[in-house]
Amino acid sequence: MLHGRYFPELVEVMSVSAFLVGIGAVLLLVLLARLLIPRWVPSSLLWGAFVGSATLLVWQGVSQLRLVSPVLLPPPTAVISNLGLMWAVGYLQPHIIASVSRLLFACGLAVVTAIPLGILIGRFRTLSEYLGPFLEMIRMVPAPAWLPLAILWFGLGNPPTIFIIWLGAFFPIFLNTLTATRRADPVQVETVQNFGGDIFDVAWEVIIPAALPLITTGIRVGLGIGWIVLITAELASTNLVGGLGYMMEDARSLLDVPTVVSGMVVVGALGTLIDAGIRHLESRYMRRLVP
Amino acid sequence: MRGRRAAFLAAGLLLAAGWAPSAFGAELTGFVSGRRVSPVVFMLAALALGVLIQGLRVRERGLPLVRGVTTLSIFLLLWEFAVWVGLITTILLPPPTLVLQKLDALWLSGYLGWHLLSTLRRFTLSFALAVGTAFPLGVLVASIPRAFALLHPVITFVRMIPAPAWAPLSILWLGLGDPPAIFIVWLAIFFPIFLNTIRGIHDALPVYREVIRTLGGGRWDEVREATVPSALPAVLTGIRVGFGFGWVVLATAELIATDSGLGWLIHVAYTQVDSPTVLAAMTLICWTGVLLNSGLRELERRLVPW
Repeated sequence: MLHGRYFPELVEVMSVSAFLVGIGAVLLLVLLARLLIPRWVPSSLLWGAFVGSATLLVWQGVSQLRLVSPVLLPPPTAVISNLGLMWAVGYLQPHIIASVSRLLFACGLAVVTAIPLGILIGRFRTLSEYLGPFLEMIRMVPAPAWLPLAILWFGLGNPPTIFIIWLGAFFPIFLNTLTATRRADPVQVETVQNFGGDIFDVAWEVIIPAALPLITTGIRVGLGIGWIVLITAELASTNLVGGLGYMMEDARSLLDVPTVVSGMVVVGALGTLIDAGIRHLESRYMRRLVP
Repeated sequence: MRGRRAAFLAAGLLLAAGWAPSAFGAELTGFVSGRRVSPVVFMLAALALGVLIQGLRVRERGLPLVRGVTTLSIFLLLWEFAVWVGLITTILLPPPTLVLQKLDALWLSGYLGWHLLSTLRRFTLSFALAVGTAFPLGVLVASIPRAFALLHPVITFVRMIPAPAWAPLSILWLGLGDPPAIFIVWLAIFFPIFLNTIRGIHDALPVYREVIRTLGGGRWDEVREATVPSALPAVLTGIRVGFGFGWVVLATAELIATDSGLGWLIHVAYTQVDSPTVLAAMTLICWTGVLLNSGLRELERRLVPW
């Protein structure tokens, strides 16, 4: 594999002047965009750009002045060039695809199982009394602690990972659906029932539209926990090849700190992106639902 | 609340049922497991438990409890039965009796208690550290105008890096052992408390502060009498959310960086394909989590009666 740690001479670390020019260019661009089309560039983005650049500059300065050893905290220039190299040689993309597909598959599974179950248990009080303590006991065991058993049950590789991500993402979605179902307007429910609707009609016409904000919150929290559990599984289980957690752990064992930090940056960026995507979908769907 | 109490009672009684044979047995089971609790004894104990709880059903509130315990008992009985007739291999899912016996043996040898204490010490330390840093910092950031708006993008980005992703870097920075584990758990607990503190303070009605000012209070009085009390419910919500995150991350942190604690025990037992110990440790984590969580809820009720 063509990678920085095997061919250190290949990693041409970006020069500090190029870094400064790059930051200046980005700031100028944002400022210009703000002046020309203020509608597209909210002031929060402007401030974000300034504070972000200031953070990067301080980080670079700390490394440049050797306040912290660059081995332990590689400067942004090293991280950026490392990211560029990993992307260019095609090392980063498979890891991203592996992690994101695992997360989305498991969370999709959690959505598909948690929402019907939440509606069912929320509609029938007796059922929740029967199942409540049981589910509570399962909920209190942290998802990563299930990993050994999951490996025994499902073998090595993807299935146990997906199982524990599903477990981690399930409960926030389930509990929020449950709460929302209990809060559903009884008059609306009875109206649907009077017109001859069964539980599916009640769920589709009343509960899901009314519960959507809470369910979406549950999905966002679930994705957050799923993201944590995913990285854990990839870090902890040596039998899983591929994925950003695996990439970071592999790099750590070789003291390739720029790759570790690059992994963190990518993980943070992807998390932000996924969260923003859900919020975008939420606001679009809400607007259509609530005229 | 009812469900939680039911879970408590069920756990306690099952524990007693599992403990009883060794307590009355002629010899103490040692570190390595000895006799298994007879499934028949276990089933009888579970049935007796059901009958006992039926007897407790004096008031109306007893019913949900009975129902919850019924499910738990049936689940445990089916589980035991499935292993007994050979539907499930013991290695893949050891029966409850074996898990209880393992729990009993490990507990009596002091091994489990030591790991539990190690986990609790680590968790308490991180938790105290997180509350002690997140709350003052939150108050500080919220009381400086525009500070949060400025910091928001950077905070959002850092928050989106899951705590376990810091593990490799924190091991490089802090070495192996307690420090990286405490750092990771601290990080997981920090953000919910920090962000909720800020939100709580921003959402507080300015009227209260103005009242204090009108009555002649200084800036410190304002913070103490108006800002903090009105933000407290949000802060406590943050603490509960943070607790949940910390509990999830702790198992991970112990698995990666340390050589003690229940998370580590699970990992080591797994490498030895000792599934009864894995389940015993999971059970203990579960009970401890339930206990701590309900303690936190009780504290919340006491602290924020409004």
